[in-house]
Amino acid sequence: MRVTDQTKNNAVQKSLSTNAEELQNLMVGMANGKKLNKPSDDPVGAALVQDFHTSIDRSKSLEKNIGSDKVWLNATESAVSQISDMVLKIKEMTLKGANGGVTKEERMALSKEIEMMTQDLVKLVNKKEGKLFLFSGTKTLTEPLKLNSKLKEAEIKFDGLRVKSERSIIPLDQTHPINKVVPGITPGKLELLVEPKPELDAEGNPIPVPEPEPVEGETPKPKTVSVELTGEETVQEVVKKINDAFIAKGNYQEDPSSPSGYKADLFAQMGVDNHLYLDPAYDHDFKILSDTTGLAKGMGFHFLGQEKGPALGVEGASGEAQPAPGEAAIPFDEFEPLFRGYSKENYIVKVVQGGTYGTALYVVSDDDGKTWSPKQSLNKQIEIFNPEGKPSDQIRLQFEAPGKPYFMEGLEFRFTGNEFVEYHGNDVIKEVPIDNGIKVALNTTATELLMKDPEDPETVDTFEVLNRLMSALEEDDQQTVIKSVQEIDNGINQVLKKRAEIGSRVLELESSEDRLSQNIDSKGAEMSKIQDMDLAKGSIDLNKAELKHKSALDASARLIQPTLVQFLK
Amino acid sequence: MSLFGAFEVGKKSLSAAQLGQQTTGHNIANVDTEGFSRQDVIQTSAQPYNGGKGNGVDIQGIRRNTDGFTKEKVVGEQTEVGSWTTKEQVLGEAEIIFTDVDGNRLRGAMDEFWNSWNDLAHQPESVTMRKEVLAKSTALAERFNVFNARLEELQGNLNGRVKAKILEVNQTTRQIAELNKQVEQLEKQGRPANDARDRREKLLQDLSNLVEVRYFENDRGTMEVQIANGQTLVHGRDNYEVTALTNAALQGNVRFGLKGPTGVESDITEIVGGGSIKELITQRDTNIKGYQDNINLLAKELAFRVNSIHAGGTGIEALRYQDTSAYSLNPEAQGQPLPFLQNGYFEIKVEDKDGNPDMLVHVDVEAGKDTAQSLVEKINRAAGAYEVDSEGKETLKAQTPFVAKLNADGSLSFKSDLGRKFHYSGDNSNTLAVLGFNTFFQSLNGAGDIRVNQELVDNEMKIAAGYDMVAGDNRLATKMTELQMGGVLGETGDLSFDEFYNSQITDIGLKVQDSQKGLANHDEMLSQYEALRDSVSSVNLDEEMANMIKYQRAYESSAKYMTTVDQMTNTLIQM
Repeated sequence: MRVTDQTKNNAVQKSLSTNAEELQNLMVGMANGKKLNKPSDDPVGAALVQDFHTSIDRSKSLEKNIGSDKVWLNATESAVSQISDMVLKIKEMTLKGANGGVTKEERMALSKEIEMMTQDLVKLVNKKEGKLFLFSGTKTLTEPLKLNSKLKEAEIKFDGLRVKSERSIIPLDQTHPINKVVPGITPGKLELLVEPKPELDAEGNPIPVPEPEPVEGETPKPKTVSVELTGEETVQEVVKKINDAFIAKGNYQEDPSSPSGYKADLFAQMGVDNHLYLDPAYDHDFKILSDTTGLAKGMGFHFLGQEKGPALGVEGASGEAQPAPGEAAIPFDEFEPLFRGYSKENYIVKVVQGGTYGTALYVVSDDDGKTWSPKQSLNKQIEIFNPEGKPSDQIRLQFEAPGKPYFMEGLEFRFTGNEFVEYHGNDVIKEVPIDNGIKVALNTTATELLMKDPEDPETVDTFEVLNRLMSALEEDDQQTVIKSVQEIDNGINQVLKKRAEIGSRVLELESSEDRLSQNIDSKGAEMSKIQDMDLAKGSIDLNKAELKHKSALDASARLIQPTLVQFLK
Repeated sequence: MSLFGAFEVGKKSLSAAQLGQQTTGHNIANVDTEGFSRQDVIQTSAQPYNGGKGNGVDIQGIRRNTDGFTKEKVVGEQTEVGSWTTKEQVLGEAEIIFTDVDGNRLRGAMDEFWNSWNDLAHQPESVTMRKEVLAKSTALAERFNVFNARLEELQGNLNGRVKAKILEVNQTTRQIAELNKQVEQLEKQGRPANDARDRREKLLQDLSNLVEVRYFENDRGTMEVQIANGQTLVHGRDNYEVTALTNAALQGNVRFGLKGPTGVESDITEIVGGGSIKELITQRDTNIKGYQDNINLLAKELAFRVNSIHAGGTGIEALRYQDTSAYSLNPEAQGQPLPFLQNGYFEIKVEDKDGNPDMLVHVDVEAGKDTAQSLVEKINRAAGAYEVDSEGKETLKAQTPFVAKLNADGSLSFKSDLGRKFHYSGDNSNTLAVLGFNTFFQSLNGAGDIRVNQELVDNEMKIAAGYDMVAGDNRLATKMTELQMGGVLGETGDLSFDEFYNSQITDIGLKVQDSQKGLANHDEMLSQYEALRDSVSSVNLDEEMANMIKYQRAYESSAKYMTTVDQMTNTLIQM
């Protein structure tokens, strides 16, 4: 083949550039220590390296988190051990109390001491790690335990419209207030209109009720009731006359579901505060249509108990409608009802026959009004029993008000569950990922430590035991105190079991930590094999390439230099 | 023959040596000229006079040393080299975008994203961890945006290159047509057009790199150049322009056009057999487009999966009076079954103004059946918004604690009434994620527009780590970390996000490797053909030196001959 300058030149250039490229690749590799710089250097390796990176990063992240998990578990463990110590101390106290030689006064003192220790126990369970509560499940920002007060004000409910006279009768004479003739009344007629509350449309306007078709042979029930007064009546007599007038006019309905057997549209009552009350049935309104006796005006009727309602007015003796004063709440302060004791249940105490202590009757429901107990006589203090309830579930309703208040029919006193100790956390166990696919439970709840798990017969509601224990000590009940010792022992076992479990979780975390750091090392080594330059091999290769390049240069120099021109000179 | 005839022989001999020397000079001068073919003088002995006496030398002409076969091979191989160079270049540029071996780009951002959820799963109450999730997910969204932008930039770049190369084609064909004219004129006059032909062949090589051509010389010496199906680029002294076709449907992507003799533009992208222009368009529409589609798919799927977990959960602060879906449906789509739903249910809890539970809105969802409209009705029904009037007809209540509404712009909104607030409480039907409620990421197109829901950016306490606003609940965050390993993508749906991204990396790595090998092969072949061609056509200075001396000697001898004949003439005169 004919060799020309062009071919010579091309050959030299080609070999030099090939060598230079090889040199450069080796140089870059040596400089950053990597043989894998772009996917095409090793397409499969590049993908593998990505996976190794992910695995290492994940392990590092998990390792870091396991660190904080361990802090949490250690804090939990130390709190649990303090809790078990505290319960042990309580047990020692109980043993003292169980001793037959202890006097009643000493038991009382022990009860106080145990109450203090119970408070401390609650404080321990409410311990925080940082800003998070240790024992409230995943509701870590909520304080887990709340120690309730033994006393609780009852919530009063009354569905009726309560109309109270503005002025009381003979406020000066507290002894025989209602046996005097009502002052200022004259012979005349009091006309009252009672009708069902109108239904309201969307804008709050009453929907007119069409007149019912008159039924053949039946006289329609009169709407108005008139009460005639001679002007000589005492307040008691006025009350009786109004009530009789309503019954006589048939303005009542037979109501077998009502404890009293019927339900009148309106009752007149004397309150303990010496005011005259007119209580219409809860779904009825009433108006004083006319009054020539001066009673309404004299007593100063106005309307209470409706936040917002139909525009009711009292048409007094003058016949002019007076606007209803918009007072917000029914002032039931004359009762001052107070529940004493603890119970998980909700109770409703309902007055089924109006009256005062001894005359009024009540029924009790523990299922939100579905079933009721037999009627009982209402007293200043009543014990409320839940037939299936535990002895500690015994609560008492007492009325603190002085005097003898009048209890209207339909009046309800509600008690919402008031446990000795309330748990406000949840029972969700937070599980955290500590390795691929492996999770470990991190938190411990106060319920696991100190409360009854219905599915585990070995668990004990320690607080319930303590509550019972305190009552027993107060009441000098040695048998119950002795029984409590065993129960507290079970409670201690429950706490210790949890403590052991927490210890094993710490171990699990530690072994996972080891695994992760091994993973980081081994994956790192594997990754290095794929992507890192073998420096020894690299420098040998570099030397070789350099040598090759040099000899190519050398050969090129010899190939290009000699031309005929030199020899012609 | 007279003595003067001998002068004639000498004169011819002198000028032959002179021409030879001149040609040698021309060769030496063009030793580095690309495409130049070595020339030499063709000498023959002159026609003898009567009686067969020698009549000196005759110049037949100046010849180019070329080999048509190897030249054709060089031209043909140029097309291959043009295609492979382009392929290697484009894929190499795309590879840079994917180069992530240090784990610091998209894949690294994905790792950090998952790990931030892992951190949150350990400490769901922590504001710091929430801020971390926010930062890592914002970074991931930005990486996706950048990734997409760089692929789009590459697309735009490729279009620019196509346009530039099309101009180059036109310039080349114009020059070929011009040279055709020169060759035709020169050769008509009987003069050699060697250099013009050399230049024309060089241009043909250049052209062939850009676009695969067929060519032949016709009897007038002009070169006809055509593309694969016989459409003409150069005909005689005329060339036809190629154009960069573009229209609205192509969205800025140019195609290869040709303006024929009648001036009508036609799309020749599919017809052209090879060359760098065709390869640019092919790479743009296959590989680069493919990577773009896949990255979009990855971003979309990631957003959807993350959202469908996030939508049913709550952060520490999750209560709202109202909420509007991130996505809107056009009126037609509102009546069509929503995509991606699963049979299941979702729940919304409504609280009264004091924070007590007021209402649980439970909606059962049927996949492939429920539409935006039917869902609105179901939600309102669940919220007790319908009542039966006295005529037994169902009517919508004027006021309900919770109401869903289809807005005029096609979005959905939820609203609670009278101081009530609500929060989402579980969704295994994907409904909330599909509509765009309580989303984590928002994305319509994928990588280009993925971003973290602004509501979360504004308040990281709204990032859901658990359910029902329990501060320490980490179940949702744990679920999120499990998503990293789960199979969701690919034809059989068993590739995890990481595996899917890996498949892209491996794919581009292999393609780049392949294109490098292909290019090396064809480069090698081209240089072998070029060596073959050069061994015939290119200049060897040693040869030329030898020729120079040869012609010098010939000239010296001819001159000596002339002197001798002159002396002979002188002798004759002095006789």
